[in-house]
Amino acid sequence: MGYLVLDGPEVETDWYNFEALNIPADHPARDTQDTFRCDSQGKLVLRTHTSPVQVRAMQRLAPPFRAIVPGKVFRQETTDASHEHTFHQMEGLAVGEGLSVGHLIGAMKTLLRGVFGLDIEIRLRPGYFPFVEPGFELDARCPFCEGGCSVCKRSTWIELLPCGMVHPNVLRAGGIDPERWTGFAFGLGLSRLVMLRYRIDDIRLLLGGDLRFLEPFP
Amino acid sequence: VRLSYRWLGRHVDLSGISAEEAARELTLSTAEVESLERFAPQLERVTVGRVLERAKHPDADKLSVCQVDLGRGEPLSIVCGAPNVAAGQRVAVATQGTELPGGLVIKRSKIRGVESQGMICSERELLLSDEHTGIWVLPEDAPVGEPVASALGLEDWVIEVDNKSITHRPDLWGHRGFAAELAAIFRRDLGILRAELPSPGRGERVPVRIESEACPRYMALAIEGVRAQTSPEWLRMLLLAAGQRPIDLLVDLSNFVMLDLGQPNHLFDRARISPEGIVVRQARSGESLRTLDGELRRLEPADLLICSGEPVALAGVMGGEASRVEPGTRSLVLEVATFHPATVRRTSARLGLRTESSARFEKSLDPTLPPRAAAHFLALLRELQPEARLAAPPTDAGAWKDPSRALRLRGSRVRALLGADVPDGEIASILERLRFGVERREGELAVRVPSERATKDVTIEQDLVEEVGRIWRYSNVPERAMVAALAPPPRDERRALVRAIEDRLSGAARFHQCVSYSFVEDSLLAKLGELDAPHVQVVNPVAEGFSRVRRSVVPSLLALLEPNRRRRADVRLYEIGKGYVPRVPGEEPVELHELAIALAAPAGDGAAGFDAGAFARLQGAVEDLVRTLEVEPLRWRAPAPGETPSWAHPGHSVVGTFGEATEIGALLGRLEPGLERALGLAGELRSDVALARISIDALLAAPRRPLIHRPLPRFPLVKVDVALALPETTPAAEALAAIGRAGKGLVDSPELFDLYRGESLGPGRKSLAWHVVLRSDERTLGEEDVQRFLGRLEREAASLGGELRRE
Repeated sequence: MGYLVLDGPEVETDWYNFEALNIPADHPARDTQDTFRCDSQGKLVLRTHTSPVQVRAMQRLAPPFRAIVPGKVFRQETTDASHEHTFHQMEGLAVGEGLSVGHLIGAMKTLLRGVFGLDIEIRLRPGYFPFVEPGFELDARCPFCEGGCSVCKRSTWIELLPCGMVHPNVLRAGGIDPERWTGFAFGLGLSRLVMLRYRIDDIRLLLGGDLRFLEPFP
Repeated sequence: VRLSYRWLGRHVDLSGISAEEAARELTLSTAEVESLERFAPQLERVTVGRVLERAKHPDADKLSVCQVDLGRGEPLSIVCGAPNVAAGQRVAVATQGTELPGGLVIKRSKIRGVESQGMICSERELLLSDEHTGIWVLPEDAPVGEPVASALGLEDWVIEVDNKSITHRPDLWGHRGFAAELAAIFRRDLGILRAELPSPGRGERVPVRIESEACPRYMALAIEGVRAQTSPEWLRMLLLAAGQRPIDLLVDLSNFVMLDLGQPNHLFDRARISPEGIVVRQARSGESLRTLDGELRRLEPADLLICSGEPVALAGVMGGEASRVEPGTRSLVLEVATFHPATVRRTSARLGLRTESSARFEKSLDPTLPPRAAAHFLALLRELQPEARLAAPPTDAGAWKDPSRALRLRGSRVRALLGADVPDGEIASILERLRFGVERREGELAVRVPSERATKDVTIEQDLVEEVGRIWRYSNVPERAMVAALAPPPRDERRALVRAIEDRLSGAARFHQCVSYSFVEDSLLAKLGELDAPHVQVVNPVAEGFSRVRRSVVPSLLALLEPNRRRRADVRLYEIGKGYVPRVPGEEPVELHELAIALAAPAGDGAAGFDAGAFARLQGAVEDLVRTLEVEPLRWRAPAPGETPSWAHPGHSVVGTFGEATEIGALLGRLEPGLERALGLAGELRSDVALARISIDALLAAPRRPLIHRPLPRFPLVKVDVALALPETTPAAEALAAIGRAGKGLVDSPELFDLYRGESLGPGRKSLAWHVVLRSDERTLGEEDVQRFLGRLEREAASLGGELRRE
């Protein structure tokens, strides 16, 4: 589909991880990120999401372009069967002329068709992420039930991924003129998707390096 | 944030709109509703009863036997221990089979010989308060026989909203904000908040001096004639539904105003405020304050304080204990202020003191809100305590500015960004319903953003597009396909290389790929003697000794050897990942992209063949891998001093370079024997371990050696076996090179088939035996070619300090 696969550093600067993504110091959104800080001044962090590669990509590539960024991310949190301090995300970004929410919906449906092998009904509802505007939570109609189950908490919708139209400040941080270009971005919880796909009930198995876990996956 | 559906109804007419519908529409247009639950379902399971008669229990002084009418059949006989039960009261009765909170199921039972057919409940038994010295006495007009919930009009729903979804919306931290959203969604009118502040002509204002920019507005109201009292049922129930424990009327009203309008406020006992009034200033180092929760807080200059002589409150976070409202308080100072969000946030984060108040201030509150909140408090108070009144005109200090702003909105921009055909009229209507001011101009709208939305959330045109989109509904946006030139993206060499490595190692080479943590444990680094090497280190690790980021991927694999060897005889693992080596503190470290491979097997007894060891097997796997990657083969050599990594046995390791490169591209070695025990590979886990570390960057830079077909030999070949006796220290690679030189281009792929040590060779010597094939593309070779080859090889062997062994 013409998406580039990009990579970025795990040890990231505060600027790329926060500032350039429209999350200035003292922004309440920083609370929800539980950042591992690598120095007392907070100039370096372990990236809390794959989103910093959005700005790195904009600086490197001339629009229009499309890219995905799979990678390791870090959050300072206590681990249990469903929480890990290290997990994987996949960022997606498209920048072009005239890209709209409609294109985002189209791209997301195509993505889900690829992952689940069937057409899945989706809905967008407002979600707040400082680097997109408008921002959405994308829910998918639960593929595991008709009428409510434990996976969708009986709502028939599964909250699947955050997405939105790239905030003009982020485009500007990447050196792109927001009057001429627009873009959409999405963030997929790769670890969670893998767990859903292979019915893995403990996230800690993913990075545990246990051969009994690894062997069935060639 | 917990919302009471009934409370929302105080601001907007919700008739015909169920709680479920309201919750669903809010999720689709405003913020994520996490759950919708019945408020206090236990109140639906208890019934209003009327006490007909109270008689003393024949056998217990403190118990009474009550006859209670439930409006049907015979009255129930209930044994009750409460001192306040009396004939004529309306009470809450749990009958047989009723389950109370906490799981207690009411059964017919005998208490001291008297049968009891139910229970008269206290407030605590119904989770309404801690009150349990007596039963809960209901209003006299409560209809007998009805469930308490409907009889008292307490049926309600609790709508729980995900706080993360409203961090950008200071206006949604109170019921009125959500009511305004419902009004916009359902096209209903938002009720008018009637609240004008009275200003008595007499009395002296509370003096307020603001000495910090972190306080744009501070209002102080002296209120006299107040007294402690329990709040009325309606107020207590609304607070309970919103998750706030009722305490006392004054405190309850303060909380009510915060949960209603989103504006925190604070009550001081006026007797504890000095006549000099209030000073808002930054803390001085060394100052401290005992906060309401009883903790003594050490203050720092970054903290903003409310002072009256001494500090009396941590601005926007928590009040002080000494100036709190007490049951004897007769006169109040009500504080309603606006504080700088980051200041409140920093203090609250530093002290680990997150309060309902700090959560709101850090969202950037509307500075025009305080007078309305103050008037709201006063109006509610005077309804319940008519003798309460302002003792002086309100004080209103500060250099605040109205944040409401003008923005330009192009209808074309809305349509382009949403990808939906929203007419201009609809755009204007939606914004007006959301209380934006709209003026239609040529091709665009001049939009006035109201102050409660303008502090942070709505600052640019794009923000208005979101306002329109969320009310218009994203489900009305048609799906579109992206149109672009059909050009494949440029080839990504690194990614292709990683894929090729994975294909080979996970495929024919039968290794297992893992992805492990980037952190490496201090205890492992200590074993490796690398604790002092510079590491990227996090200052807030999840666990002690788990703060260092790996410099290389190899240690991650070392940590996996022992647990996996417990489960499997052969451990074959690899990881492709990043290592980080710091340069200058605070600057980006050097990123190393690496392939690490580990191979561990039970340690043999030496009986196996010379090539069965882990080192040889891994070297073979690495060379096979490199060949399939179509780059120049690795040139191995013994490591120079300082080149051997801590995990490698210096005498059993090699470094490899690609082609003419001088930079080391690969390291391969047996595990340093001294580490075996430290890594838990002792006893029955004693292992033969080899590890390799290959730089992905070096592989990318390595000269290409494309696989190209070589014509099949046209002339017959000659096979000859040779054995070279050499000093123990001479690597096989040098012997191999010597064979090549002796062959003068005729040698084709020599194959090592034996390693021998024995008395006949003498001490410190070994013999390497090779199958050698000689062939030429030009002619048939004869015996004389073999003899010339052996002659040259004899001289080559001598130059290596060895000899050609003749059988």
